[in-house]
Amino acid sequence: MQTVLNLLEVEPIRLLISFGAVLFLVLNLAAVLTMAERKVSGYIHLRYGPNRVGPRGLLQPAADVFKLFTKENVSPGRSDLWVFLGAPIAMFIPAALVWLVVPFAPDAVVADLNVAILFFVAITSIGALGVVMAGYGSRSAFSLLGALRGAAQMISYEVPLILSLLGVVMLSGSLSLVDIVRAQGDTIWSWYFLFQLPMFLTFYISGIAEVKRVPFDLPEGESEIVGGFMIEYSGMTWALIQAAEFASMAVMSAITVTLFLGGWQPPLPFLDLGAFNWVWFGIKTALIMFTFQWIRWSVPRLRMDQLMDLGWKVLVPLTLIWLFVTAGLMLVFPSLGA
Amino acid sequence: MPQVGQGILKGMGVTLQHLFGQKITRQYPEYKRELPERSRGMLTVDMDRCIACLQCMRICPDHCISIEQTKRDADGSGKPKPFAVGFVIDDSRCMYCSLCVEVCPVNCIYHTEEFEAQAYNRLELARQFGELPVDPTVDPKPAVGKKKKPTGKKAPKTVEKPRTGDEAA
Repeated sequence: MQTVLNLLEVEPIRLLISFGAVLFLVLNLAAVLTMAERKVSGYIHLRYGPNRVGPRGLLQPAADVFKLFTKENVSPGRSDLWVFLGAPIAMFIPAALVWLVVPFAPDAVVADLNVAILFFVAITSIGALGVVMAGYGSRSAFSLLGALRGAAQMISYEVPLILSLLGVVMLSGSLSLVDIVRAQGDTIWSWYFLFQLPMFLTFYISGIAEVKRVPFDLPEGESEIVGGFMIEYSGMTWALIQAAEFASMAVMSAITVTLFLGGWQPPLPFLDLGAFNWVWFGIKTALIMFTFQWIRWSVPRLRMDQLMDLGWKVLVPLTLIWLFVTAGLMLVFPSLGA
Repeated sequence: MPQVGQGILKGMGVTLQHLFGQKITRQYPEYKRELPERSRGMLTVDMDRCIACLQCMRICPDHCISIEQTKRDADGSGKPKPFAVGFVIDDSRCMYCSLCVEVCPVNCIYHTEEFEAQAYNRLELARQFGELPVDPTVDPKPAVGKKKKPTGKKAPKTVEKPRTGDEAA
C-alpha cells in the first residue's frame, strides 16, 4: 500500500493514474446521471422510473450501455463523415478536460493551475465547436438549425458566465481554484454565494444555458427540431454526446460548488472530516446536479428571443452592476479582499 | 418586480411535492386492475349451445369467425340439425366490436375478461373451438352480390381458394 502511495509522488505515474481516475469518474458519471435523470423525472411525474433491471432498477445503466454498444452506428448518406464522427469527440474531450483542474479535496487535484479559471472558461467554450461540427457534419436541416441555435446560445451566455466569475476572482485575488476554495473559509456564511448572490445566480443560470439543459435546451429542442444537432446520431456516437452533456453538467455543478459554495469546505467548522472532506464536495455537487434535474422537469423552454433578452438585457447588466458594487465595497472595507 | 420568478418557484414547489408524493403507476404484470363488468376481452364460444346458425360469421365486419357446418343429430331427436364441427376465431383480425355477441340467438358467443392476446406468429392467434380445425386464413364470407347463394339447401361452406404464400394452420 505504501509503495503504491509513493508511486503517486512520481510525476508521470501520478499524472497517468489521476488522469485514468478522472476518465473513470467522467464515464461513470454519465451512466449514473442518466439513471438519476430518469428516476428523478419519473418521480416528478408520479411514476417509478426504470425499475425492472436489477434491484429497484439500479442496473439500468449497464443495460443501457450494453444496448448502445450493440447498436449499429448509422450515418446519413451525404454526411461529412470525418466531421460527423469527430463531433462527439470534440464535445466529450472539453467536458472531461475541465475535471483536471477541479479540486476534490485540498490535495486531490490533478493539476493545480494558477490560471484554472481561465482554463475552465477557455475549455468550456470549445464545446460550442462540437455542436457546430455535429450540425454541419450531419447535413440535415434540423441538425443545422440546432447547431446554429447552440452556437448563438453558448457564445451569448459565455459573456455573463465569465463576468460572474470576476467577483470571486476579485474577492479571492487568485485565479487558482484551490486558492479560491481556501479563501472561502469553513463556515457557510463566509462562502461567496451570500455576498455574491447575484453573481451566483447568474453563474448558475448561464451554466445551465452553457450545458444546454432545459429551460435553455433550444439547440436540442426535442419538441420542435427533434433532437437538434444530435438528430442523426445513433449507437455509441449518440452515447458519447449524451456522456458529454452529462459530464459538462457535472463539471458545471462542480465549478459552481468550487467557486461559490466553498468546494470541499465543511458548512460548519465542527463538521470538518479531515482527509474525508471530499465528501462535502461530493454532497454539494450532487445537490447542484439535482437542482439542474429538478429545474429540467419543472420549467418550460424559453423562446429564442427570450433567451437572448435574458442573457444580454438582464444577466450582463446585473453582473456589471454587481462588479461595481463589489469593487466599491472592497475599496471601503479592505478586509473583504484576501 | 417582486413577482419575478414566483411562477417558477410555485411550479418547482409542485414538482418537489410530486417527487416525494405517492406514485400512481400500476405495476402491470404484477398488479392487474379489476376490469369493468361489461369490458370486451377476447371472444369465446360455448360449443354445447351453438346451433351453427352462422349469424356471427355473417355479421363480423372483419371476417374473423369461420365456421365449418354439417348436419348432425346431436341431441338424439332423430332429426339432423345444423352442427358446427369447426369453429375458429381469429384474434389477429377481431376488433372487439361485439356485433357477434349481439346477434347470437342463443348467447353462446361472448367476451371474456382475457385481453392479453400475443403470439410469435399471426396464425397462433386463431383459436379453434370445434372438433375439426378450420383454416383461419380463408375468408369465410363469399363476395356479396356476385353469385346467388345456394340458400336453404346447403350452408355456405368455407371455400378453398388457392392462395399463394399461405401455410395452413
